[in-house]
Amino acid sequence: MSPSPANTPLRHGPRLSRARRPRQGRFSQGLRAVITVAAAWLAIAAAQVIAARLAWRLDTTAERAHGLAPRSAAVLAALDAPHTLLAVASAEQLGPAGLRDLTDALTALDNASPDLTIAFIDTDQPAGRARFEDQRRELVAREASVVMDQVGVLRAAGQTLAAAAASVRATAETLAAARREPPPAGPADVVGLRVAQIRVAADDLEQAQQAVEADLSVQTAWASLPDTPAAARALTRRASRIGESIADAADWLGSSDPAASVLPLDARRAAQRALQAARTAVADAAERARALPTPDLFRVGDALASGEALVLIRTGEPGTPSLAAIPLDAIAPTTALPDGRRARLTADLRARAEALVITAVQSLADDERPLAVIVHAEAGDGSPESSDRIAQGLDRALAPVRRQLALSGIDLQLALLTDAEPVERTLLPARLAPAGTGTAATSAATRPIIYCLFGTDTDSAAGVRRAELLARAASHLLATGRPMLVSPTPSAPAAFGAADPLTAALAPLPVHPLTAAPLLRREPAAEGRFLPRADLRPVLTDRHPAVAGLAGRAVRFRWALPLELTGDQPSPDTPGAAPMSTAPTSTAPISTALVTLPGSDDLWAEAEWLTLWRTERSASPDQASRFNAGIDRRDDGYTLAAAIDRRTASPADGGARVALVGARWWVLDADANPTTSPNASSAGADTQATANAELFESLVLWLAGRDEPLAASALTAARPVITATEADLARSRWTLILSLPLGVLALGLLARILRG
Amino acid sequence: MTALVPLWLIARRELLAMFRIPLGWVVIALFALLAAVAFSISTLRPGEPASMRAFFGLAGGLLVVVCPAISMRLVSEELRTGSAELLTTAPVGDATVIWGKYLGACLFLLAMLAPTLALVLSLILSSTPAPALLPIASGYLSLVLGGMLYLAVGLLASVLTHSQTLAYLAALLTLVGAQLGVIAAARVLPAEIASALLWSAVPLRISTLASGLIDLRDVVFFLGISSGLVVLAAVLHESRRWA
Repeated sequence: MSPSPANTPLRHGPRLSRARRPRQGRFSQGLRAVITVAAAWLAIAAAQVIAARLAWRLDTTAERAHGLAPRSAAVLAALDAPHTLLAVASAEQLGPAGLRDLTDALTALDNASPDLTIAFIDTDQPAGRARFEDQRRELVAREASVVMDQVGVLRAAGQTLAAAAASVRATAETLAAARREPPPAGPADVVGLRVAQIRVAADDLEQAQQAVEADLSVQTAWASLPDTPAAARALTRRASRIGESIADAADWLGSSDPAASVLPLDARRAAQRALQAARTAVADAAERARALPTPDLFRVGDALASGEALVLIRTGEPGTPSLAAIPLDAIAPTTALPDGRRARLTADLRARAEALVITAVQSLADDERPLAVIVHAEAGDGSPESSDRIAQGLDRALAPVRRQLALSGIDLQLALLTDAEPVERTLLPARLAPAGTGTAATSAATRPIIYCLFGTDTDSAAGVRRAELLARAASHLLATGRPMLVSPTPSAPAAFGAADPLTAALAPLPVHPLTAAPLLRREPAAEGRFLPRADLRPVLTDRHPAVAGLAGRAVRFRWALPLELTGDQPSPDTPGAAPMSTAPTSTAPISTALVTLPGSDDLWAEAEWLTLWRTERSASPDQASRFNAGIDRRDDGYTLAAAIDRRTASPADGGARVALVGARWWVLDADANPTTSPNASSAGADTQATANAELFESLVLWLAGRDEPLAASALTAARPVITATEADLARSRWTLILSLPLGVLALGLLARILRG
Repeated sequence: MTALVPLWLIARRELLAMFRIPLGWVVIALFALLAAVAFSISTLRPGEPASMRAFFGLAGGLLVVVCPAISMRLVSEELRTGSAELLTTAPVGDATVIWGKYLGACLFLLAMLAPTLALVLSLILSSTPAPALLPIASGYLSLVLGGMLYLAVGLLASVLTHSQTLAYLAALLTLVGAQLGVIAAARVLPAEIASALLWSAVPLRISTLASGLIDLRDVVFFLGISSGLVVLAAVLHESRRWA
């Protein structure tokens, strides 16, 4: 094919030029070209080096998401001992963007304090894995003495149980021998039954002592050390249960039951005293176990076992807080990809890493380890076995929250209220001295105790009884000025116009929960009625130090209750202020809204919630719920959680503080754990994290007297959110999709017409 | 200043040439359509954060495809039609010609991004409170800088061949291959080496800018690499005279 006239000059031009040019000229031209290009690229490299040295960055985000928050910088500047932060992670799983964000965050932290040394250990590499193993062994060796001290405390507690067992058994035999008359046959032999009960208690005590030894013989896979926190929890649970049984028998001996009259009075009194002494010894053993703080090594156990974590090590004396770890999952959760692989979701990784590291640094700086006691009322058939089962179930359900709180140095325990035991005995003192011997006991600090009361279902007689027990506990805690977190729930008695026991107990507080009418949202459904299980996502305010670090984040509440704040409230024109940390000007209680939800036409406090709840939707498909102005209530906005500073006790221990959260069991894992999903259109993933666990953590720390519990981070800033309705957005979408390209083409057409 | 006059004249001629043919308008309209779809899918959802970060990530990906289409004709067209010979007779250096063409393409890139400002307006109207504008400006800076780099790669490809199709494919494959290659290599290499390698990862730098962080290193990276590629293109173009 012959070349076209158009390209002939092009193809022949260079050849002609080349033919005319001498070889020397071409060489010098080429050399000059190479020098030009080399000089240009050298200049570029130099500019890059200079830019790297200058490290000039402009963070344009309103929340300063790319720099350390002022609070973080202040915490790091105040470090009083050398800290080492080991970032143990798989670079491959983090991905390039995640690795860059993590490195960025760690570098910012590193630059903020000379006392913080940071190292990255890549577990993809054999050398990295070996280094991490060495580090793990070193930490275990360093912390082993603390664990072995706790083993000694638990063994001593076990010996106490054994001694109590001997005493109780002797008492049982004494009672058996002391009866004046031959025993009647069958169930009429009340004394015989009571003696049997006491013998069983003695057997249980002996078994509990053996169980302590058995528990201590089980070693963790990652540290080859006895799992003392688990053993302590088990001992506390068993001892509490047996103690109740002994107390019951002692009460019977002191009662006017005619069946007891077959025993001589002096024998009854002696036996009662012996049983009460044994019960006290058992309670003391339980309390000693309960007071043991979780050793730092166990706080970080899961993270160390996973081999992917940020491990923070503080140089200090053994027994002082020295070790914290943040599982990498807390910073970059893993998710399953469509192809079956797993990948880390790195959205907000930088901000999360900063917030969690600063929280860990703070937890190590504070010697006080608050103890959050979940107060639960007896919900089973009343038997000790039932109590035990309930305690274990709650223990399992709260496991994720327990792990989360451990990062901040908070231990979580359960206290079961029963009819057999006065609430005063079940509840611990306001502060607890750490039990133990050796290094564990050298710390003079005491542990602040925060009571957490969660309302129960009250649609049965047993439920109402549980609510009454909780109300008794709340009254006692209020009367004694203990810090308390209360979560009231919708109340069946209140729905029928009667008083809800827990609400009545909270009457002295300047806040009133509407337990008769929970918030429900009408949602379009095929059945034409709204869902009784309203899943609300209110937002945390920034008006209180308890939640200032979480402001703008959403929590997830079910069966939410509006709270009416009735006392003094901080001035509304001071957003972000910390009213509780300023000097009080009066002794009147101050209530502050923590969690708020804007009102809407589809949202109201529903008085007939019980009917809706009990009626199967499929059974009454035509039951369309409507707002009833006579009994329902609709406001512009709702307060769902509040903090109350009663200012009646010493501010040093935070004992006058109370927090109310109007939601049902909002810290259980289903609501507290983040859910993550890959997002094909963004950087890789979306983390739909509720702030429930963080809210719980912040409230516990605030109730324990800490005003700045969580480091403010990028997550704390209120973010603009798309608030337009789906219908409006659909219109906007189609307008943009159609008008933009058509507008451009129309403009082009117009330009062409104008040009002629 | 007088040295810049021919540069500006060439850039202006190049820009007007793109608008003189329907293809220029079609490219802008197509980009606007894809951007609007990407924005609608990624950002305009109730309850979502009012941020254009996800959009900028997608738009950065679109530019990988669109920029080579803009730049493919810059020199290839001249070479194919023979008008390159005429340009060599003009009283301007080859470097000025190449820089002028590149500047014209960059101006076209700005014109192409301009309609997407309607998306910002839409976001502001749909959000409470209104999103901050500085991070959005930073995101647009990422698109401009990233687009300039892609145009420079396309320009280099255009200098190397007479065929616009080849120039487009060469630029596209180079961009995609380089980006995927760097990220894939970073996944398997040790963290220290991976960190160094990620220095050249364009999407990560775009993502950093799009997240609202203007880092001098990123700006210098984009401008530097773009300039280096244009210098290389100019030298290669000039080499046709004497090679």
